[in-house]
Amino acid sequence: MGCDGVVKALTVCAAAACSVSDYQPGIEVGFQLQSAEAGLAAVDIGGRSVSIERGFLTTVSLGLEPCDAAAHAGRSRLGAVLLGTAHAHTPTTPTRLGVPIVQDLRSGDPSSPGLIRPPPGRYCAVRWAVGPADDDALGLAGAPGMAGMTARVEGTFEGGVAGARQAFAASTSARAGGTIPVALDLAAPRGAPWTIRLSQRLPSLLQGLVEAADVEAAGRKLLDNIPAALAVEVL
Amino acid sequence: VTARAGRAAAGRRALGLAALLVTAAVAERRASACAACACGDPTLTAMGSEKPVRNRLRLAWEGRHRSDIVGHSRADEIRLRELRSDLRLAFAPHERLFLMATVPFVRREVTYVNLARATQTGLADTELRAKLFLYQDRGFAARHLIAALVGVKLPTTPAARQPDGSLLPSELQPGTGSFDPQLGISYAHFTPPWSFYASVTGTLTTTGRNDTRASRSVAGTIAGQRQWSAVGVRLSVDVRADGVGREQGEREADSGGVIAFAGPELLFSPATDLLLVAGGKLPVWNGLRGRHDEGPLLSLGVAYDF
Repeated sequence: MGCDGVVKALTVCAAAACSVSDYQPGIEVGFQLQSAEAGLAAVDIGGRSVSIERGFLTTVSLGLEPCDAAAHAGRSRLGAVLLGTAHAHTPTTPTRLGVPIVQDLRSGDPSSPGLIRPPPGRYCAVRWAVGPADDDALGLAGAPGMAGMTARVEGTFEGGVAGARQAFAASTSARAGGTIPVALDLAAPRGAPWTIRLSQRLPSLLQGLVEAADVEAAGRKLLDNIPAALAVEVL
Repeated sequence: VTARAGRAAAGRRALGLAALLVTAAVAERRASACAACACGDPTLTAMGSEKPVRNRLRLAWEGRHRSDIVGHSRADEIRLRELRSDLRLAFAPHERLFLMATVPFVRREVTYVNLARATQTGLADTELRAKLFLYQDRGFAARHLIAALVGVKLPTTPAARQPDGSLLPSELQPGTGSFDPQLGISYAHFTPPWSFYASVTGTLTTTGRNDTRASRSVAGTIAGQRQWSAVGVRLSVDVRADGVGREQGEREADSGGVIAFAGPELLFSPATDLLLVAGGKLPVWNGLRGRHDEGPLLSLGVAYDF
């Protein structure tokens, strides 16, 4: 029996022997993205009916901010440096999910980019960032033309002569980010993950787009609207 | 004269058994990936450093406990606790050669930064070693012995998987799935009631499962021992220098560097051919890259000659 035979025999013995593993999940927090007015044919913006024919927004990272964020800032930066992933996009850390996802603003289905596994503690804000979708962004297959884009919205609004509808478009590859307050006390693991649902209120998100000078300006306006349009809910 | 000769023979045997023993306790491991790196000289318990007696069969067992905290708080911290049981069988087919097989059984507990806990219990990779004595200053009761060490860790342990079939993380894998050859040299000096032992062993790890490769390392051991009849006390220092490991093809952040452990061991031979060893070691110098808070190493062993 050669060397390979010896190794195979030992492997069989090892496989047959007792081998037990056990895993108890820790603190896990999942994110969901959705549109608050999904499915509506039109939304009312300042008394004007606006319809979206196509609407996509790329979220590139989501995370939690500890209430004592200043004390953790250094470690968070350190974690971001240390915990790079094999992906080309934002690194994922225990408190930040760096998985780009393209959200269909017209869909009623929540989009789920994934989970983070943060350390115990109190968290007071959700940090979000939008940016251009890279090639492996989730949801990209169902969002034609969104590769490399942050947001793209096309639709019509009621503003023409005698109530005729006019087309508008907004498109940008710019980046934006911010925080939204949340109260989340993650003292110890529970049976199921916490879920943070971020909803985009379309009337706020689309505010002022139709008045923008051009498509890019409309796109930047859309990004400016995100903080006011974003609502957070802990499930 | 006969009684004195008998006591002398028993003393030599106890010395021979005890003299060499076990610094091996130091199976330092890196939580992030290293499932098989070790430091110290694991051949001591089972082989001893005395010249082999032809057809000697030695059975040895050693239990070890260690703990380690790797990574940064609130970022990638892993807390590891490990209980390891090594069953070793050594045989001397020739006056100059010891052969040894080690079958480890490991229980590893890992706590992650989000308080998730994982445990894995099972057999680890089998290790084969040979110790070839190259030089001795005289045929009987040699005072100077030089030996070459050759070994290999075999990928005998199947990959540990979660219930969904996915691989457990590398820090929980009982083996690396790689052929890891070793080469070293040892020197033993006897000047009763004192004995001294030194060895250096290099391990050339290869890429195992999941495109992961444990750190390549050079480990050294220096030990001095004082013998009082059936009781001995040894103080040893183990040093290991690691290269950078790779996990899933990427350089491991918390790998590489140098660490040294030192501590005493108590040796007791209650009967002829039987040796008990208990010891503890502390990390006296930690030059490992990244954050590694090594805990004390505790060991308990027994060896019996047939």
